[in-house]
Amino acid sequence: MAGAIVRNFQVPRRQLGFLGSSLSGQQQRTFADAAPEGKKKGGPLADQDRIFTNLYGRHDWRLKGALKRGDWYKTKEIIEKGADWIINEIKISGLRGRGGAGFPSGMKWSFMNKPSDGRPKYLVINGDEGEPGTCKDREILRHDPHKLVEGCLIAGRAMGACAAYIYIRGEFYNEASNTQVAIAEAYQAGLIGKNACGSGYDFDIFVQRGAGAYICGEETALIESIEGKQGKPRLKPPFPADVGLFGCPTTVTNVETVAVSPTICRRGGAWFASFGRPRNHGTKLFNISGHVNNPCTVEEEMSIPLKELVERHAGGVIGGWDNLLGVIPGGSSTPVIPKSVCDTVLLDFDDLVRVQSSFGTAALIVMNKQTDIIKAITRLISFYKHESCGQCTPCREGISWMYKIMRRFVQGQAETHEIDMLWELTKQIELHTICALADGAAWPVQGLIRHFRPEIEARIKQRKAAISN
Amino acid sequence: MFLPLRVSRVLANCKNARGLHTSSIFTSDQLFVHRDSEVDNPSIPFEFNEANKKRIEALLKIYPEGHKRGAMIPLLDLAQRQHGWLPISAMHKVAEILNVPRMRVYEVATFYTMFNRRPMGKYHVQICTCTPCWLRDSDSIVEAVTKATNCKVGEISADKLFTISEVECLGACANAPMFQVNDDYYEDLTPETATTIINALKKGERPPPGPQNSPRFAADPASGLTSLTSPPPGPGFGVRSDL
Repeated sequence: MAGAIVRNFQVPRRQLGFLGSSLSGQQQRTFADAAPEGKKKGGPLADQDRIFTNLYGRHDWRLKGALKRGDWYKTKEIIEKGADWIINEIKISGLRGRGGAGFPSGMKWSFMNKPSDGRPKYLVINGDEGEPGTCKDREILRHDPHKLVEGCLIAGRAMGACAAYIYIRGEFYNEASNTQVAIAEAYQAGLIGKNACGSGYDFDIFVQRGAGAYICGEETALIESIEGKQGKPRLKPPFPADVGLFGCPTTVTNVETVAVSPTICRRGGAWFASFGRPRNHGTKLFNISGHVNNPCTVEEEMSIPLKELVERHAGGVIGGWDNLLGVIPGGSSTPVIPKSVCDTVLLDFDDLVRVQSSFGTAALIVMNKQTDIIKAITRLISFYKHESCGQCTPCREGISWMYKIMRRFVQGQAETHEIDMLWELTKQIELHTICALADGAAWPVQGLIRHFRPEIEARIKQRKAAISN
Repeated sequence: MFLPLRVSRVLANCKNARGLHTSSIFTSDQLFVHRDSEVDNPSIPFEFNEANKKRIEALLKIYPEGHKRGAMIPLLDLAQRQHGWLPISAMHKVAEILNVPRMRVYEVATFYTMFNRRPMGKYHVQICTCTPCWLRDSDSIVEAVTKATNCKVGEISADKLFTISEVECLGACANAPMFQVNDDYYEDLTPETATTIINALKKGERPPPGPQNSPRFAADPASGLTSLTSPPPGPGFGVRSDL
């Protein structure tokens, strides 16, 4: 999974460690309350404002085609503007990390801009996309790899990194091949490598493939994995910006975050900031899967209403909008929201936090009324049970317990008070582990209990009635 | 797992007993210990072929001095591609190349699910059954594949052609349901197309990967494009003037 398992802002500040101090001011006035001024909602995006112009692979993805679509245009000039200029543009653009946690990218990149202590710095690109529902990075890796390669160079320059490692999940073999070809082409054209783009800056890019572990989408687990170890998250602090890959300062960012940065620098941060509501700026790749007529991946403006997105691009819910049961709005680790909320909710970080869910990776899993939602969530829990790395007891044992209880809920073979027991269990699991995988497992269950408790109770009653008859 | 066998049998027989530990090896879907067998024991020699030796050389170059261990996952992957699966002697070879204790390699090889430490069929069919695929009826795909290959999930077919696995999300949710055959994704499946693919593989063909219902090329909407309908703008479009 591309880092959707990064702790969200819903987490108490103490969990965020030193980030807390830099965030606290912003955080207090940000969340829950509506945006003060500026756009009230995102609308349909015009074709000329789309960043990923080869999203569907209709055009040539190799260097020649990429040049024709405007990639690598004036890259040298951007690099020569220097690190501060690039970081400032990203800050103006309001870009927030696209991997799930939504941390402001400009700020994250600036953490790397400290005086050098002699150690090299690394940029690590997180392409370990495995969150159920999420399939956006795959489209970038196979159809627009040059945007990513150029983004690596620009982000690397902003951080003063000497090399980038692109970590791609092992199953994406053909996607990794495309990216590798794009890197080779860029080396041959002198765009990266020694004296990249003729700017005098040396920068290398390497690809490493994973081997099938969702947990490697967590930034420190990903670093461990590149170092050739088991993908088990490290305790923070020290944060990767101090001690990361090979013991050197490192920043881990999502594929999409990096891939949009060249276009932001070219067209200006203000252009990017003109989309979406305040604090939720920009365009975003949305994945729509599940019970819709035309599942698809599409680039849209942030803050677009959920209903509009589904009806415009995905051909509506199967059986009509009134047949909607609920939507998991941001990949499997975000709590499900029922239809009454879906009617009005906007797809951005703040509005989904308002409805007690989370934007995550903007991967919508749509479920209609024919869905057995308890079973759907149980399947997700079985996913987390399988993917837990086993370091922390609350996660390793707790998710197995949750799975056992949920399996009985599917049959209705339970007591009503066990619903509260399960709720208590999820509360004991979240925030008591090194990484956020356990939180991601607890939230879908919490979402289920919060909105679909009557359904679970009805099933228990139904089974009891069937037995007593 | 350290319990004497007799005691664990007694525990297994107590149906009402509630174990406090749930992470015993009984509940795992994989065996995490090595058992010597005729096809997999340390005395069977393993050597990388010449092409792979060149690849190893190139791979080792991308890691800084003192951190060559980073190449472990790529090397294990190469060994698996060469041999079809990952025997213990290949792990020993990788440990030798990277100059690390064997245990470090065992750790990695057991942690990552893509390393198959048992003989595999020629085609590894991995069917995604996670929620987004399940919503699009992946159960019918599992049924069709097991029927067409005459092989249960988790087993090798009698003709050694297929290994069937149910796997977690493969990251192609907008093209659900789907399965992966070795490196290729087959998307937008129906039980009929799944059966057709399996039959083609049986004949030694390689059916074209990607979405199996014709109007789609990738993750675009099946009813026709709703975006990106105009040709992409050329270089310099909308670029700020001060650059």
